[in-house]
Amino acid sequence: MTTHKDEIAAILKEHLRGFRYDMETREVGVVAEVGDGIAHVYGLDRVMFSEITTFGDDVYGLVLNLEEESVGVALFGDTERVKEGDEVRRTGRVLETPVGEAFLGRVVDPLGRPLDGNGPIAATGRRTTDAKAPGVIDRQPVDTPLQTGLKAIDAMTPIGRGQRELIIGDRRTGKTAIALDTIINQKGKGVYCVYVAIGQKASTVARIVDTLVRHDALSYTIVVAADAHSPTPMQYLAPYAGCAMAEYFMHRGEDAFIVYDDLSKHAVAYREIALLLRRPPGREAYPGDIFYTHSRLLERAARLADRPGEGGSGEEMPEFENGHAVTLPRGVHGGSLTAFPIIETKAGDITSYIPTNVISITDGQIYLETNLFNQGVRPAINVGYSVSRVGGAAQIRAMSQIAGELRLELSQYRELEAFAEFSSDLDEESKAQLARGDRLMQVLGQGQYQPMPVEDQVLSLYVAVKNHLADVAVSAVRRFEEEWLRYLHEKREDLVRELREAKELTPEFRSKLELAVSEFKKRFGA
Amino acid sequence: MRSRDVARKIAEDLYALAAAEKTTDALERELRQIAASTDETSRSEGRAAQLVKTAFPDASDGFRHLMGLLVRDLVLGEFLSVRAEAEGIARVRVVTAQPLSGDERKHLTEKLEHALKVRVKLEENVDPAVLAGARIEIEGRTLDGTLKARLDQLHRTLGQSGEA
Repeated sequence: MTTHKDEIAAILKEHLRGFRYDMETREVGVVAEVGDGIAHVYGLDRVMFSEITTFGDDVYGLVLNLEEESVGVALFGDTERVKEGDEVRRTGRVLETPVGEAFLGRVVDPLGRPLDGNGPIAATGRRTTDAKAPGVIDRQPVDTPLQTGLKAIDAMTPIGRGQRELIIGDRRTGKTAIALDTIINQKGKGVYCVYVAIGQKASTVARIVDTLVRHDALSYTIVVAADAHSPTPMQYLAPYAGCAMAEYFMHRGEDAFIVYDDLSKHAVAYREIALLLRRPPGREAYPGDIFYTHSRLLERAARLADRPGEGGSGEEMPEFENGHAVTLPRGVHGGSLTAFPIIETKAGDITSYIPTNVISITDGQIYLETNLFNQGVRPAINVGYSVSRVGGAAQIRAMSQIAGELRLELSQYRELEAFAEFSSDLDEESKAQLARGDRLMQVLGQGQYQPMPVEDQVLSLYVAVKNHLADVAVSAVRRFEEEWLRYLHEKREDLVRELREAKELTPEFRSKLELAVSEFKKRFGA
Repeated sequence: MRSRDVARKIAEDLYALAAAEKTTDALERELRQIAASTDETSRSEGRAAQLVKTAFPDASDGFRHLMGLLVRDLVLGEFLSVRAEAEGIARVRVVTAQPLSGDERKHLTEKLEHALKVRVKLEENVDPAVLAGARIEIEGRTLDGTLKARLDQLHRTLGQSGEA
C-alpha cells in the first residue's frame, strides 16, 4: 500500500515539476444574449478580432464582431451549456488548428478532434487557422502538373500544382466524383490530400471515407468534416482548418491537394452567422465580405518558390511566428497547395452571386452539365465552358501536342453539332467531322474511380485524334480503347516506357506508334 | 433591444433625476433593498418573469418587463456603474472566503487607489467556495489570488500532462 502511495506521489511530483503559480490575471466579460451558436458578450474591452474566448471548460468562442458596447462570438463545443450572465474569458490567442502527419488517414472535425473513433491524434504543431496567404515573393509560377487521371481534364483543362480550379455544376452531376478520382490518382505520387466536407449529410461523408478506404487512398488523406448537423460556426471554420492542415505539408516543401466540398454551403453558413451577428445583409442576403471570405481562403493555395542555398536536409521545419512561417529553411524545394473548390449551381445558373464570385477568384473552372450527365457522358464536363488559366504551362509536352489537335477538332464538332440539329442534309465532309467528334467524345469518357496514368491518356487520345477510329462503330470505341491499352501494356510495353520517359511525341515515336496501331487494328478486326 | 441595454437606459434616467434632486444615496439604498429581497435563483430570466406574473397577474407587459429588470438586479447593476462613472469612482468587487476586517479593507482600498489613480469603492462578497485568498474584479479584469484558482490551475496542469 505504501509503495502504491509513493508511486502516485512520484507521478504527481513528475507532472508538477516546473509548475509555478502566479496570481492569475484575466480579462472577462459577461454573456448578454445567446442563441443559434452565437453569443453577444459585454465587457472584453481589449479583445482582438478572431480571438478565442472560453466559456467554462469545454466551450470556445471565436470573436467575429467588435461593436461599441459588446462583441459577437461564434460558439464551438457544447453550446447549450452557455447561458446569460456566464463569465467569458479572453485567451489572447487567435484560432489555431493542430497539424501534422498524424492526421493523415483520419477523419477529424474543424478543431482537429477525431471523429473516427481511432483514438487521440498527436499533432506535430499548430498553425493559425485563418493564416495569411503567401506573398508575391514567396511564390513561383505553376510548372508541375497535378494529374487528375481523367482524360477530359488532363487533356482539355490541365491542372498545375498550386492552381485553384473550380468544379461547378448542378446537384448530382459528378462534382465530388472528380475530386475523389483526383485524390485516388495521387496514390504513390507524394501528394498529400485533404478533403473538407462542409454541410454535407453525415451518410455522404461516411460513403466518401469508405470509397477512399476501398481505393487505399485514406492513408495519404485527411478528411475534415463539418456535416449538416454541426453547429454553423464549425461549418464556417472547416475550410480554413483544412487549409491549415494542408499548408503544413506545403511549408515543408511537399505537395498538397485540397478539396472544399462545397463552398456554396460554406457561403450559406457564413450568411447565417453574419445575419445572427446582425451584420447588414447585401445581395441575396449575403454579407458584404462574402467575396473576401472565399478569396482569402483560395489565395492560400500556392506554388511556393524554391529556397536555394546551402544546407537543408528537407526535414527542417520552418520557424513559425503566430502560426506564420517567417523563415523557411534554405535548400528546400518550394511546396505547393492545389485547391479544388466545389460550387453547386441551381438549374445550371453559373451567373448567380456565389458562382461568379468563385469563378473570378479561381484559375479556371470545370463545368459539369446535367444534360450531359443524363446522356451518359462521364465525367459530364462541358469542355466549351471549362477552362484552365494556368495549367497549360504545367502540361507534359506529349499531352499538349495531342490536346492542341483535340481542342480544334472538338470546337469544330460542337459548331457542326448545333447546326446538324436543324438540318439533316449534310455534306460528306461534315458527316465525317461529326462521326469523328462522336468518337472523340466516347474516348474522353471514363468510368468513376478509374483514373489513368498520363501516358495511357496520351496513347488513348492519339488514336482518336489521328482518326484511327473512323472504321470503329461508336458503341465499340470504349472496348477498342480498353483493348488498345491492354495490347500496348502486354505486347508493346517498350512504347509506353519510351513515352513515360521522353514525355514527348517525337516524329520517330509517332511512326512507331502508327505501326503499332495498324498491327493492333488487324487483331481487333479479327 | 437587449435587457441590459434597457436597464442601462432606465438607470441613466434614474441617476439623472436623483442627481438633480440630490437623492442618489437614497435611491441606491432602495434599489439595494429590492435586490436584497430576491435570491440568486430568482435572477434567471425565466424565473423572474414567472415571479412577476404571479405577483402582478393583471399588469401590462411593459410594467412586467420593468419589474423583471428590477427583480433580476439589472437596474441596480447598471445604476451602480452609471453612478461610478459619473462620480469618477472605480467599482471594485472583492470576493473572499471570510468577511474582510476593517484593516484589510482599508489596506486594500489604499493599494487599489494607488494603483488605479482613482477613488475606489469596494463591493464585498463572501463566497466560501474560494477557500482562501481574494479575487478582485475591476471593470472586466479579474485578479485571482484565491486558493480555488490555484487548485484549478493545478488541476489543468495535471490534466494536460495526463493527456500528453
